Amino acid sequence: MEPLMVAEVLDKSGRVHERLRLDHFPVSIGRAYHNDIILDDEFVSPDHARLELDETGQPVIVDLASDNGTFLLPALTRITRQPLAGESLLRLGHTLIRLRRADFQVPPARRDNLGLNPATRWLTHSAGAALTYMLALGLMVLEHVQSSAEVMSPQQLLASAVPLAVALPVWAGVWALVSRSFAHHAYFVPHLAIAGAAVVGFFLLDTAAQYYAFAFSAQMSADLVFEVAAIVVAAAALYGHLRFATLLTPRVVGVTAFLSAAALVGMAALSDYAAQQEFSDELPYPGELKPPAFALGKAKSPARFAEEARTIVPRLDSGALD
Amino acid sequence: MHRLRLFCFSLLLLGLAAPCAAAQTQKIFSRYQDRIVQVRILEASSGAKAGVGSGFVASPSGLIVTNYHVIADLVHKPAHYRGEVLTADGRLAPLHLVNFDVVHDLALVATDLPFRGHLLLATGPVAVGERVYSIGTPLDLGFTIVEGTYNGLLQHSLYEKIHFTGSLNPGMSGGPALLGDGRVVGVNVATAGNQVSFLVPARHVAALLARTPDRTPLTAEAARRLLSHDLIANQARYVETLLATPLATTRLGEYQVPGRIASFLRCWGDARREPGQVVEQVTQQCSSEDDLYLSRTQQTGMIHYQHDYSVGRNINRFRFYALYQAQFNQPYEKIPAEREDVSRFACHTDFVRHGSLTFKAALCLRRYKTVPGLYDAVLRAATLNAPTRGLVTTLILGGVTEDNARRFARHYLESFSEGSRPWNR
Repeated sequence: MEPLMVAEVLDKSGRVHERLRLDHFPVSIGRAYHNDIILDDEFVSPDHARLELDETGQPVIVDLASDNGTFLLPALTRITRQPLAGESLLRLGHTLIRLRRADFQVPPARRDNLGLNPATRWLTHSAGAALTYMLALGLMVLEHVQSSAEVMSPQQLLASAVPLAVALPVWAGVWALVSRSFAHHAYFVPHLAIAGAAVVGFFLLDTAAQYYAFAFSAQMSADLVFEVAAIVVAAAALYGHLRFATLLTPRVVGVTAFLSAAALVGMAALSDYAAQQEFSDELPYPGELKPPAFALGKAKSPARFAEEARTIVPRLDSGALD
Repeated sequence: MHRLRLFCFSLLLLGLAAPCAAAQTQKIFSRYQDRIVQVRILEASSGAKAGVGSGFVASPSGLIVTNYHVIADLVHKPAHYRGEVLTADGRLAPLHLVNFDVVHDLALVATDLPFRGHLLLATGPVAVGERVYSIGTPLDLGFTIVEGTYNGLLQHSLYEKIHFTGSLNPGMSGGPALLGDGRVVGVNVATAGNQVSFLVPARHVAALLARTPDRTPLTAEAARRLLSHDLIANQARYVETLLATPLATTRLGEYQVPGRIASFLRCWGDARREPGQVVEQVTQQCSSEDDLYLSRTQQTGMIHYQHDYSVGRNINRFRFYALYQAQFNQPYEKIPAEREDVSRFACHTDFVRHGSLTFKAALCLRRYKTVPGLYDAVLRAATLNAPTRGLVTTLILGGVTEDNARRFARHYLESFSEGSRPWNR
């Protein structure tokens, strides 16, 4: 019985470009159209090589005096006639051909948690995305109302939601294009859901950080805590987008998202450091003010407050603020 | 002389007093101009003029009086600047610093030039309305005499000054303001424009001369010590006065707040109640409106405080507090200083309770690099006792010791209280 073989024509990045079942030998390989395996490569001769079986039935590759030769990888030795054992990688012109036996053992299927994860199911569901989108817009309007000193008309309320209402679909659209290119499916809905969830996440974290800074009378503004938390949210969002936009493994995506977040932390820290080198007459007290019910820290007497303010001068004398 | 006076008198009857006054001005100028000088500060390496002021000879030993702010560069950067004196007859000679009084903006310098005489000081009382002749070199345009009127001491000023109605211009600083008899009533120091000008009273010149035994040059080190000593003594003077008694309070909304706590302060108020706005605001502020010149870039010795009362109209507490927070973070009245003068601020923040009032309070200090032991202090506090109303207060003290900053912050916070509603809404 003739061994069944599979020839895989690989592209430059090593992905399989074309896969051919070989069950009749000899198999001719070359650029000319009468060949069994036609290689579209200008460095390949019209009749470049032949794959045949020897007396014992072992496959042998024979170079047909090609112009640029046939090579066996990984050693890159030029060959004229070479018996092949098991899996072989050949180079003809600029083309790589991998030869495998038909009984090649493929690894078991990898679990794909994209489809099984409830979070993912929710993200891919239109209703989930719509809800996240509306929630993000709602929070935007709320934030706008809260910080406005004017009585707001319904039109103004609607207008305040417009920038985000446009920005989120545009953002999701850009990711959908990326997805379309790399993952062959747009995934617009999950991208929109992820973007919306990120906005909601930012808002909630910011609010939580502010309330914390106020309630316990932190000595620093919540901005710093928020910066770090925001980067965590950004990393999570990036992870989500990349998972839908690429076919990379969760591990690779996770590492990419983590490294991006780390780079952001680094940049934020660097700009903070740079800002600290600048002279400023700003007052660096935590500026958060919330309704009295949230003032959880213990209030001191003015005398005690003035006494504890002794801690300021050593900080000034250290020269760190010069 | 007698005939001249008579002549003047007859002209006065005719309503033509001007030639008489002009004659007097002319006489004063020609008689005393040899005792008046221009003080020049030069950039040491190029010799280019960095600033000019005026001065006058005030002692038999030839000590020349000018303003501290004219020669401040010699105190702060003695290596980068030098000074010289130009007399009315064109003689030029280097000067050296002998003594100064930063609080009253006075300085004494000396040169090797001989002077024929010196001006006498009028330290006694002067009648409001008396004519005063101010001499100096305005805008470096040469020796000039300006006629004006003595209008008494400023009523509400942290640093004693004479109100002189006459045009003082930059470059006249340090020049003398003379009475008709040639005695110096004050030293030109500042102007608010439109003939509103200020003089340092002559008694401060007399005091400075009295504590200056000779013409020995002041070393850079001694100058720094003197600066530090005078500024620390000055802040102690007014802070101690303010700490001695409970602060006078006034009503603002439902709160009793520090009002005009000293006669040297000027207070103003305003309100914002506009249709379409969800928060009403009433603001009161008091300020010394006077400060001390320390260097080209730094001022000190001022006190300023402001109360911003806010009431929400038909809004929930979260929205009110979002707006109230913006109030708490609004810009404060900056104290002029640059990186070479001061550090950045560091703050201490906490909840503070006094009586029925709870505050979120922050005390921020920055260190003077120029004067050891002095700090600029900003206290900001917001009341947290009601869902839709509150009071943000900001206290600014320029150039105080750390101890005084903390003591006064405490005293200030302790003067707040909550009262009943002042108006029917």
